[in-house]
Amino acid sequence: MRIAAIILIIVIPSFFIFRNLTRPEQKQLNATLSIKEGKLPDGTSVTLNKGAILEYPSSFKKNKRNVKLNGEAWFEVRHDDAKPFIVTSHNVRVEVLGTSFYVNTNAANNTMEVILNSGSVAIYFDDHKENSLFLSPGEKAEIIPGQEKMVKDINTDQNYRAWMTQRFIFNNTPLVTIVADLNKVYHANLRIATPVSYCLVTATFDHQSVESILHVLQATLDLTISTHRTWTDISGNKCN
Amino acid sequence: MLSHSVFSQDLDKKITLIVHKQSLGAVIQKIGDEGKIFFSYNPQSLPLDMKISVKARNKTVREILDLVLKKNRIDYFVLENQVVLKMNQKDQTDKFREQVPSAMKHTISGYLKDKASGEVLIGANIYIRDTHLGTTTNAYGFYSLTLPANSYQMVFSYIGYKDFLMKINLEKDEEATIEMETSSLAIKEVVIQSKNKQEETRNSSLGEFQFSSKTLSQIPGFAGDLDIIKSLQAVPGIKSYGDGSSLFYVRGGNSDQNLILIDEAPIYNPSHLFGFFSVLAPDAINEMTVYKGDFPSKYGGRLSSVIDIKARNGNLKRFGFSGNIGPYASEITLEGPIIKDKSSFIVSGRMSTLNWLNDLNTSLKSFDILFYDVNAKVNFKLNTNNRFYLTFFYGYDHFGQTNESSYPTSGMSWNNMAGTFRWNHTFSNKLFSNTTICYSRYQYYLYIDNEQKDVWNSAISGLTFKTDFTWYLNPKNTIHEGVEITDHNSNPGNVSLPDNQTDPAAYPIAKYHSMEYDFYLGNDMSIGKRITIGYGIRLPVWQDLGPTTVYHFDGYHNLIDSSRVSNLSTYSSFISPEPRINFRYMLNDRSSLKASYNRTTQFLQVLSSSVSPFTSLEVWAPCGPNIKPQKSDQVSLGYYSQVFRTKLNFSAEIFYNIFHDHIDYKDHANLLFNHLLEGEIRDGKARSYGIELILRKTENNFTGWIGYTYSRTFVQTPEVNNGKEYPAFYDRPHNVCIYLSYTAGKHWAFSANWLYMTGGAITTPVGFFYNNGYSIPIYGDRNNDRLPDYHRLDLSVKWTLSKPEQRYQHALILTLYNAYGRLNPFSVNFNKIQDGNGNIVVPSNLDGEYQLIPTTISVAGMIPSLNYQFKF
Amino acid sequence: MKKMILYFLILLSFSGCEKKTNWQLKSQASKLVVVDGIITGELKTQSLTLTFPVTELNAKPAPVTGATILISDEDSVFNMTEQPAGSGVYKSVFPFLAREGKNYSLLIFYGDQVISAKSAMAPASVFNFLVYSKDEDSELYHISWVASSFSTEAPAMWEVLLDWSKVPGYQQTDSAKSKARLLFYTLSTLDVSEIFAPSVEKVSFPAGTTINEIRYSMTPEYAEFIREVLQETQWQGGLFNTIPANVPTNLSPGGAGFFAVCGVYSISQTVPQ
Repeated sequence: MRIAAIILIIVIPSFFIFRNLTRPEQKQLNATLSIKEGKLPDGTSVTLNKGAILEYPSSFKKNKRNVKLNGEAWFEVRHDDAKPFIVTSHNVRVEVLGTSFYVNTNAANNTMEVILNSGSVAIYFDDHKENSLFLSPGEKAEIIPGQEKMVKDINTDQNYRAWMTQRFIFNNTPLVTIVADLNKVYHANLRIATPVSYCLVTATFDHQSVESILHVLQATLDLTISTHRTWTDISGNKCN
Repeated sequence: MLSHSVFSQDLDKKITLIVHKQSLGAVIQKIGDEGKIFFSYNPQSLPLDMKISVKARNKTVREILDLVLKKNRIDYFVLENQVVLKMNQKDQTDKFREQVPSAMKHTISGYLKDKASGEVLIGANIYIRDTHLGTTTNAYGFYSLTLPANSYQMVFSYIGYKDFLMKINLEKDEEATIEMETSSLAIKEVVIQSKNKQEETRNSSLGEFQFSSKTLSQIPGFAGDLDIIKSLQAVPGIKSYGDGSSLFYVRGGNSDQNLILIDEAPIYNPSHLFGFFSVLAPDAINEMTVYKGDFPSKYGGRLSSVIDIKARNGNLKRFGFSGNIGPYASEITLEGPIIKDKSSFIVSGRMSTLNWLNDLNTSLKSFDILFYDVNAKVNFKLNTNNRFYLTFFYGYDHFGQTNESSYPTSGMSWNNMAGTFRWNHTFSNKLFSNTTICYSRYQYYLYIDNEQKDVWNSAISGLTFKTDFTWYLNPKNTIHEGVEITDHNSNPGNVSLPDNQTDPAAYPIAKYHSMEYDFYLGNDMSIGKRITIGYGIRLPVWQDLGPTTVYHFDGYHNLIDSSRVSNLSTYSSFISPEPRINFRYMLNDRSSLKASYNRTTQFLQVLSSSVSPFTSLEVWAPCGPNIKPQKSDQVSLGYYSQVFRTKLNFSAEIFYNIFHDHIDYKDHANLLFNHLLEGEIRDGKARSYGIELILRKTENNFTGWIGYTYSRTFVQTPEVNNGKEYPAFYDRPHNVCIYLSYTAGKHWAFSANWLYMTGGAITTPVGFFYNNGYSIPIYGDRNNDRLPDYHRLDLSVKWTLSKPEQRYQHALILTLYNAYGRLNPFSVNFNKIQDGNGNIVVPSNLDGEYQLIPTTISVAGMIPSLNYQFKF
Repeated sequence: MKKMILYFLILLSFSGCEKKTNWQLKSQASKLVVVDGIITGELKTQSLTLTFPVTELNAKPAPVTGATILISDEDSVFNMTEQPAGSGVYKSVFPFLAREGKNYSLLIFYGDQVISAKSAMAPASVFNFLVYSKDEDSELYHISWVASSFSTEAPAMWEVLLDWSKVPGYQQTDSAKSKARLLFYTLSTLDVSEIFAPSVEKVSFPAGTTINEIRYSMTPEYAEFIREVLQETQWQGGLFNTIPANVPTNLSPGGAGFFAVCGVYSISQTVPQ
């Protein structure tokens, strides 16, 4: 009896110690103040937008590459047939083999958004891989985690990566959409008046400040832009 | 904000575009892809579906856009890295105008300022898109435009700053003060902006050059410090004397015929010692405009040029300091707001640190050199309509020779002092006025013999009250009008011999006192789209007042009589109307022709019969019964153009100038201590003519220009040189200036400057005769010979140590003045020998069998300098 | 090594200075008759030298020979004859002296030319002897002060004759090298080029030298001539040069130089051993 107790006293703690030593350490990639780029242990590169947090192990030991995401991120996953790459947020899992795609766990109206650039992804809830939604390049999925609902659609937003690339491409885009994009990416607080909301613009902006973009828009559409302390009003004559 | 743009808007890139009946939209897309250009447009407003065909092989994007867009009445312009496309709205605006029933006019006015510092922008251009209407900001940054009630697109532009576009609905009088941001784009600052720039300038002055503080900072100065007078050498038509000289000659006029104004106060001697440094610290300058062809009727009193320098007001937003530390002189500037956005101050000081040169110089006697200057300015904006400026300037120079035992044997010192008080007042948004009260004084002291304290001194001073009005009547007419009253006093040279046994039986030289009244009226008028005319008249009145003694001479310049004039009575007066007219015609978008006629009068002149690069003992004397006012009539023609399909600008100007009552002197004139100095003057006439050519590249990292001037000046004085015409000593027919500047990244800038001038005209002996042991030269014609040609190369490298976004900016500047060390002589002499020790001296043993050798004297070989420049 | 670099930099930079040069003059031959010499108030054989101008620097002037020279005051005429013949040096047949208050006329007959001049005599006056001092680094002396160069009183020329040919140690040397003649002036005018005149040759002499200082008083015309000569000779080549021009003359056309009549006073001293 005494021998059993000794064994237990020695073995049980050592077991836990051993277990902790071999378990891979959890690391975190945190984009608190600005866009952050990182490389995961398998060579996958990830770019996080401001405010996003990514949790990942110091090494991908098991037969899966599991990461946890909160926020907006762009992934370029290294191809590995044996180890699928899974992004988890709450109960939603986005699984890929080798691909490049965009995830936003905090999209509007409590939804989550996944947009695929290349490769293929499967999206499912918890472990229910059998009920996966597959995306092809150029497609996007809107997921409502609470209701376990997923909707697939063609991605029309050319500028979903603008936060990262600093490049906006507008093609016959209504001004209201442009303003929304600028607000989202630059946190600009631009307000658009109704008469000019549906003026269309074709333009490309690359690495330019909001002021610079507004300057061009003003010249293109004869807008009146008035800057106030915390917001900017955009108005003008109705376009034909 | 830095631009890492992948696509740079280079409209001169060559592409090939061959399309057949494709939609305009697709063609624009193709042009964008091929030319790497971003377009921005409202797709609803352009006829994108229109089918067009284009066949363009290896043409620039600009040409293709002109081909495709212009004929479909689509305008394009570059803005912020995009090419914006818009339908030509002229038809629409015209229709809109027809609909507007009343022809009510309203005025938009205000100031243009630098966003970061609040400094006003002088000479900035403002124009209304799609029209030919526009204006420029005046010397205080003020503009005013009166237009019919309508909506307009106004463009504000100034070199070195981003263009600012503003849309306005002009339904009532508006006030708009615009803060402009400096440009971060790849367009490098133009070093000289000739005011010929198409589409933007309404000022039709011919021979006028404008330098902003940004542009001045790019010209390599002497000793790593930029120099205003040196930068003038870069302007074609302005010839400097050579090394070590701040004297300059413009279009055939003598060096005392240039009016230099600092904040409206005339400065009589713009140089510090040897002419290597000019009198105002460069950091203190906002803008400098050089008029050499014709002056607006606002300026007068000198015949050749007007250098109008406006000092900076001081940062209205935050404190800052800047400076330059170097081996020859160092300066520091402090500035900042007194009341934020309303009032600011700026103080600059500079001092020389030259005495270590004594250890090097073995040839001349050793000397003691010092100079310093202080410039302080305060400005206050009371309200929108009233601003006040107070400027004070003082510069001092001292140059002394010491003998072997370091005892001063002779020396000279001079000082310039000027103070101005100015009041800008806007009566209405169309009527701007400036009232100035200023006092300027220049004194010159010569210590003849320090042991006995004999001092020769001369002085000139002027107290001026003037007021200038600018009336922006309408976009086609801007009227300038003003009145100026000056009280001039000059001491042409007197000797004080304190406690000397030899009591002077000599006459004290009478001092001069004169009053000048000027009135001017002029109009800048534009007719249609192509023609601008500036016309005006200046009417100066000059009166010489007592108390003084007036000397009367006969035809042979012998004294026959003298008369006493009592206090404040007028003994001589002159009135000399000066009509001015200039005319500009735009041939097309890129080129223009100009013509002008100018008459100017000079009442005050420097009497000096010495030929030397250094500022000599200056005797300022006004005209009077024995000296007639000098007059000049100048005609000039010019052509300016942007060279087709390139980024080069070309301009050519020719001029012809006649000088009446040109002053020359009796042989070996005695001007220094001579109460009859007016009898030493001989008057005659002079003429000059020339052609000035300049080719400039103004954009991107590599800028530069090549200027060539051919000009001649001939003088004819009945009693000099037997009445035969002779070239002036500053007649230097060929003049070449090449300037190149290259910026590599954010940290390195290189520049090089090469100057060439034909040697000055000199008189050399045609023989010698001997008398009492002296070998005395015999001369034939005046200025029968030439000095060797002058040329030198300056190189400079600037290493900016800080990053552009840092608040504390600093840089190291290495300058090599006269990089290949050519000794450019300023005189040739035939009176020296080489003594036993190899020194070149004048022989003193007149019976010794001495061998005279011809010698040349030059001022400087290669002068290197390493400066540390900083700015916070 | 560091010192070498420093010297190199110094040499490279401030080498602005005066250099010997070759210069081709645009020579023109001249047939002017140059009059050199001063008629003084000393009772002695007065002498004038007549030469022609030269076209090259340092050329030896050709003498004007076979001319007839007459000098007259209102009362008498003094004949000058060329002695030796062909030398261009004309000496008075009998010694005479110039007197104050008289007007003197010069007449030169040369070939078919007649050249004349008139001059009054400025009275002589006494003066204080010059000051000499020892050189810093040798046993020799130099002249440190003669007279003030500017004075509103009468202008004067000071001739200083130094002779050390009899001083022990200098007797073997060529006597021409043991003598010196220096000229100084006091003028009532001031010129820029005078004030900033170039360096002058330093003449040093040993103890035992005889110094003979002679003061010539000048008429205003002669002073003006001298002033202009100095502008063209002693004062030329400094920092401020006057515009070159021909010096004046009081001789009628065809003549150059100056016919000067001066009152003279001299003092002699020997530098003590």
